[in-house]
Amino acid sequence: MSMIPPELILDILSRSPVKSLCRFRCVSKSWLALIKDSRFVELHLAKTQRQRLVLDTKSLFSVDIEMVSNNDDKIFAVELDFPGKKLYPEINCLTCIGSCNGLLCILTEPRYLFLYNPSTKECKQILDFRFPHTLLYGFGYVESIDDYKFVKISNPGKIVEVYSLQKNSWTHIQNELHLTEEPCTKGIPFNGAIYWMLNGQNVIAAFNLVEEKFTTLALPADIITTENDLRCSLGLLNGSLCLTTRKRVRVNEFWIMQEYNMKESSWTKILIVDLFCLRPLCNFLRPLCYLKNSGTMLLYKDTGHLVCNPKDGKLKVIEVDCVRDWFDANVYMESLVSPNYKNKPTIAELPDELQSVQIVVPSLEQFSLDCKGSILIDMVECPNLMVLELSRVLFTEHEFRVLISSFPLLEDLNAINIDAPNLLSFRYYHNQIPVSSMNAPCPWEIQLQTSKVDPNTQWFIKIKEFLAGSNQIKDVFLTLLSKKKHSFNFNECRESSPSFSREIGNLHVAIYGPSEHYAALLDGLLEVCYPRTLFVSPDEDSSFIEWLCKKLMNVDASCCDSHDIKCWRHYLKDFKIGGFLVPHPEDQKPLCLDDLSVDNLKDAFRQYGTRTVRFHISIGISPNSISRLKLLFFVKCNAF
Amino acid sequence: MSTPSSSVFSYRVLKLKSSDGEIFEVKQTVAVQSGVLKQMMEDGCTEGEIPLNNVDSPTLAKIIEWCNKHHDDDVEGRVLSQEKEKEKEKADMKRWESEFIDALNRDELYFLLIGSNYMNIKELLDCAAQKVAGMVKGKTPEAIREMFNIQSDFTEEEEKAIRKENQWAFN
Repeated sequence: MSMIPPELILDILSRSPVKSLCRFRCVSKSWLALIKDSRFVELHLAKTQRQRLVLDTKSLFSVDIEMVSNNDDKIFAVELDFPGKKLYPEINCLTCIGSCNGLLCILTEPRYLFLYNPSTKECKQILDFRFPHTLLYGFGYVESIDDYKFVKISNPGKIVEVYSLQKNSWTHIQNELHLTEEPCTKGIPFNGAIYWMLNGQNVIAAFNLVEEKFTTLALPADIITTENDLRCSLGLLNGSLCLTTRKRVRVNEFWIMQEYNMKESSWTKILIVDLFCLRPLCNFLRPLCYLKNSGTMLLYKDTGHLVCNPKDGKLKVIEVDCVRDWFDANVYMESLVSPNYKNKPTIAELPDELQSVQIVVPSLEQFSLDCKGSILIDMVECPNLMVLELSRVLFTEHEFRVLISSFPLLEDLNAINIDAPNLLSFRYYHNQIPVSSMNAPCPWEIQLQTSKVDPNTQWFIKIKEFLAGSNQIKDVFLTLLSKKKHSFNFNECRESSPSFSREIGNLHVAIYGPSEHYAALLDGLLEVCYPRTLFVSPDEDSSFIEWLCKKLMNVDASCCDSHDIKCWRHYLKDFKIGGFLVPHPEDQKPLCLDDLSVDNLKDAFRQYGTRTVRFHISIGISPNSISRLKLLFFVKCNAF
Repeated sequence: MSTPSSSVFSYRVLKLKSSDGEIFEVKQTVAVQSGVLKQMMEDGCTEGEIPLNNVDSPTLAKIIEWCNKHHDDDVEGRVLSQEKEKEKEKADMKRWESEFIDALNRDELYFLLIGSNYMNIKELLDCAAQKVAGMVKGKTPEAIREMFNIQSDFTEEEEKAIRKENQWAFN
């Protein structure tokens, strides 16, 4: 039995249906944690894209659209067991206000408001909700702030009420848009805003969910000038805003908003249909989605029917089995997104002068704190905390111990013990090398600096042992500040850590110190690890780079013949300068100098020195693997 | 200007060495489908044998079979006159892909998955991962543990509770 690495398990699970994943929560603790992880939920949503249809009438029904084809005369709907009905048995009618990322916003009669994920069966009631005299309402999602919002405007249209799921609260905003008497209109969520067709004014109103402001959007130019009695309706098709216009009697035109910049010119006409042959007669068709197997449209007919549009152009009504009453239809995505949603970490930025903070949020799961200076943090009342990220916070050891005493997993930073076989990534930024016992087979990123200690043999041994904990080390950042003269002792290092150096992805080093320290530092670095790529940023000039090039060009491997295990010189195969990068804001492309060699390196520095320059050098270092060492140099020089 | 044009290396052959020491010769035009090999070609370090320590010879043979089928060298040579022909070609390829994947037993599939991930061959990885996802679908937690060699670390009570919470998904 072969072991499938965690990143492939993740890939496989991200392609699985939601129902299967709900079962797989019972596989193990790490699978349960993974399936709940907000990043996995996002990945799954992006990867699976499995569409379903929700039909809302006296109750809710779900249709698997992937199974529907043009040949069907009748399709099957499954009744959803909506949990809100158990809570309020008097509910006799349901309206789906909209769907975002698999979350449905459900308005009931009598008036309650719910968020419901039919794929996971999770449901949440939105409290403090009143509906009388509502003109416009809608439900939408904004990716940039990762929040779901419900918006409603009541007669006389002066106040906008906005519910934020992240904050789980309502706010009130003054409305500046003039609204004529609009009937109760459901908005369409699209690209971080909610859109309403205002037929009385022949304009589309858009409420930006980030800025919480109204704007208006013009209709396609040529329909306004040609039509006297224009009626329009809005929908979503394939992730784009879709406008249906009724031109003459019984003819619908469908327009797609191609660009997000809200200009009228971005409307494109995609289809014209004649409704004449459809019975019962209707005014509007609203596109729902494209059918997977034929690529043709499935549409909703305002008489409460589904219509398909086979390639011959003849519209055909599809009957829905077991749904007898008038219904409305909306597309939704199968997803793991939870309406009880506190997935993303709370990020707190505190003023510098603050001295102590107490956090009492029993449901808090993730918390990031970025705060310069020393501060007392009390988080005893957050027993559900799973992730705590602290940056730039200064503690005394005692303060730190008090803080982490509430989290038994973190006892002593000097010794890290991590057993997380399904961890997605591991980052360690600190100036101390911990004693570690780690089971975290995921990409690592390690950043260490020796601002306080001079790197010596013991220091290099400690890093080497720390890095031995993973074979997937992606990046290691080391800042070496060498003040005292020291010699790296290879024998001492091998005695205490006899293993081969770990092969890693990228090693980024910054070396500050006089040139007579270079040799020892290089020996230490290449005993710690064999990087495939080496980035070197020298402090003031290019002296370390030039020294390193000469050193690597003329390797004298007569150093450790008497040893069984040899130093890096014996594994170094080849190196060359490959390219020259100019990481200028507008010009990120590597600037290639074909004839660049060690000899004309200095000239190249002189020529390109006014900007940051990157070298690209290849070395094959380990004889038994496909890894090779690239040296990439960053040379920082002063701008003009 | 750093990347050699495809015509330059179309005649060249890479020598791939599987974990059990077998050498496979692959045309560069075929090998570019592997992200890792492509990067090595761009860096100009493909001389000699290229050891692939995570891929055994049966798996490497399968991977090369896939890449040979998918490299578009000969497709470019012909002019596909009609859309229809293109579509047919696409459908044929889809059929070939599913036959290729379906013919594998579970261990072969796992090795292919790991190998295509290691060599960074996106389409093959996608195809293999999709196949495993299909196998996983609807399985019980016990069957999943068996498939992926996982030990349950729930206590009896914990497992009972989590099962109860997700009972609907078992129907």
